[in-house]
Amino acid sequence: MSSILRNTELAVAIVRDAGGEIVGGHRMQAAAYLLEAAGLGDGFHFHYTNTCPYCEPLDDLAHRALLRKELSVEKCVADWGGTYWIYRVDGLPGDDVPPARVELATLAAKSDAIALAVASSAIFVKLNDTYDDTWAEMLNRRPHMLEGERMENAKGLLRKLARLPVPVPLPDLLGERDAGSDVQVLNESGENTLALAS
Amino acid sequence: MSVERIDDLLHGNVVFDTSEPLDRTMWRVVNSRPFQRMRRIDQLGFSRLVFAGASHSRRDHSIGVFHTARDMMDAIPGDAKEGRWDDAAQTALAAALVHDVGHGPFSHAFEAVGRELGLTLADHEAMSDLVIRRSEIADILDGLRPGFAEEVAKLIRGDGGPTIHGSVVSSQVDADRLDYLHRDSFMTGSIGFSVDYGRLRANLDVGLVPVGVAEQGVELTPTLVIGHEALPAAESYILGLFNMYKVVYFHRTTRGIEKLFTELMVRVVRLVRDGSRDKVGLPDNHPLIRFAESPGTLETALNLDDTVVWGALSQLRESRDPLVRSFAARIQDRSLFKCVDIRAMVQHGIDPENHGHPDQVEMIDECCDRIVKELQESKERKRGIYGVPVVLTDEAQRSPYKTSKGPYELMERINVRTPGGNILDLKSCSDVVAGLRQFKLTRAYDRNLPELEARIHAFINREIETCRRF
Repeated sequence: MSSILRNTELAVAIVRDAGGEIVGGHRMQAAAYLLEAAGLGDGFHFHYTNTCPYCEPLDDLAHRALLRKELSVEKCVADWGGTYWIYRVDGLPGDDVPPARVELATLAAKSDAIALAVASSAIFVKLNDTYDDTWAEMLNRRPHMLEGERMENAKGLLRKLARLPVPVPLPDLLGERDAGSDVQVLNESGENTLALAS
Repeated sequence: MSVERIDDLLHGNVVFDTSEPLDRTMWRVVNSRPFQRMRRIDQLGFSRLVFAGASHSRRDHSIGVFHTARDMMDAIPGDAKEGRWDDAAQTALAAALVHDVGHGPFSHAFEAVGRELGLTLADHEAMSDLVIRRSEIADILDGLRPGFAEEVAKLIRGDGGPTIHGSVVSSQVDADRLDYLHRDSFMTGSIGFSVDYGRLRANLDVGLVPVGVAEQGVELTPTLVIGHEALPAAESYILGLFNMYKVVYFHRTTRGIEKLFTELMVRVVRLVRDGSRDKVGLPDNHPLIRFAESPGTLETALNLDDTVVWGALSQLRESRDPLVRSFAARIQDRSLFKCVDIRAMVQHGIDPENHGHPDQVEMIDECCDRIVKELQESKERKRGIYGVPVVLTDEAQRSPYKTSKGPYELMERINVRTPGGNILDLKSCSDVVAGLRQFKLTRAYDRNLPELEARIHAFINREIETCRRF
């Protein structure tokens, strides 16, 4: 077993760096993925499952951290009927933790759950898969997550993520980095797929 | 109407209407080389050395899954404009037919070889994905419509999350499980564990369940729902499947042969990799040698099947390597290692009345882990006698019913429609299902030398005493 698979502190640190609380395993996975994508992670490998990038060893570490009482957890039942966990830990990030890591983890933890799922998935698809059109693929995977206001929320989050001063800039999925303030989600053919989505 | 028929032991005539585009495509897939290869891969691997009738093939099962999926699909309202099925249904039906095309010889035992050595194409899911997208099956599927092969591969990979059509192929009550439970129980003479498919199917319809992310709901999604009148059939299905794992799939003798096979294959591949191919005892053009040399090549992987291994044993037992020689002979002659049920000994030592208190369960798990770890590090395992291990270990577990978490947890459970119209989890409708506990096995296999066996028993008893003290 490699050392990363035993080090429960890695899971605890994600919660601590995110402000001491993360609501839902998906937020923890998405936050951890974004940290990896931005060059601020610990070496976890993710693959795409269901709604957002997922790393099973991280899930295992979080579970072990709960058993060892390094993380506390509150089990909740959502209005829609599903269950989710709120992960908590006391303390502040260490002095050696890059401020960008804290900023990114905190932003992920405070984000709208669906917007975070969409944003992290889109970044994953862009960085890992070979689809010509990231947004067409996102629409194909989960169209309901891109409807109306949800798309606007995801756009807002992507915009914030793209502005973070991280070691490895996150992909510019809105086509805004050099294009002023007009917001569009452009596919590789230059079409505005946000308009198509909504 | 032009039809082709396959006579299936369980389902009778499985009909392909070749005047209809999907059936015509599926019939071409059935006659392709990768699909016909599954005739030479036993569905239950080495189980035929234990259960005399367990000689059915992956091909038989795949035909059965397709037939069952087609029947289940009728429960889902479609929007087909031409023909019988819409695009999503077509994709799921094709996936049902080809979902197992990537299995290697002796299926799951071969996957253990891949895990040990990092051989991607020994994993049946990775191999299936490649066969569907890159072999002649891809060309046949894309003949139905461009991109169809990729759609099928994607559904099997599970990209995009579960859908109602996908659930016919992959869920807790899918066509795959329904066919293999029915077929495997019949062929092994374990008919008491079979499934009342007729009752389940007659009470299958579609309901809406929510999908969400953490605290936020996203949408209502259609899923298959079992009517309350089939609740006893659903309970029997869960219980039957669970018991098949205990009695057939995890049978101590079958698992013991699989352990020998895995050790044998790992050694063959390592010898070839280390430049000692001449010690193996097989000619350079033998499919096993070619696979060991190029394990990532689709063509070499497609040349492997059970018959290749069975046919190689006579030559392997004359190998210059002692492990290859010994284990090939043992498999061929069914001269097996003896099983020691570690977990049963530990259970008896720690919780003889089977109370199952959490502390006791944890202690049993920890004690089993310690024993396995010690045995794996022992000289009997590592050095053995003349380099041939005389002790092997085996661990596995099976949950009777999976409770998932995440956005699709309400889709991924077995949903039951109550008489009042609510859609509930099977577990909350059935005390039988709710009361089932996970099954775990922890075993050692030894060379059946009385002195060695006595040493192993004494060691296990010492470890149990140690665990009880702490």
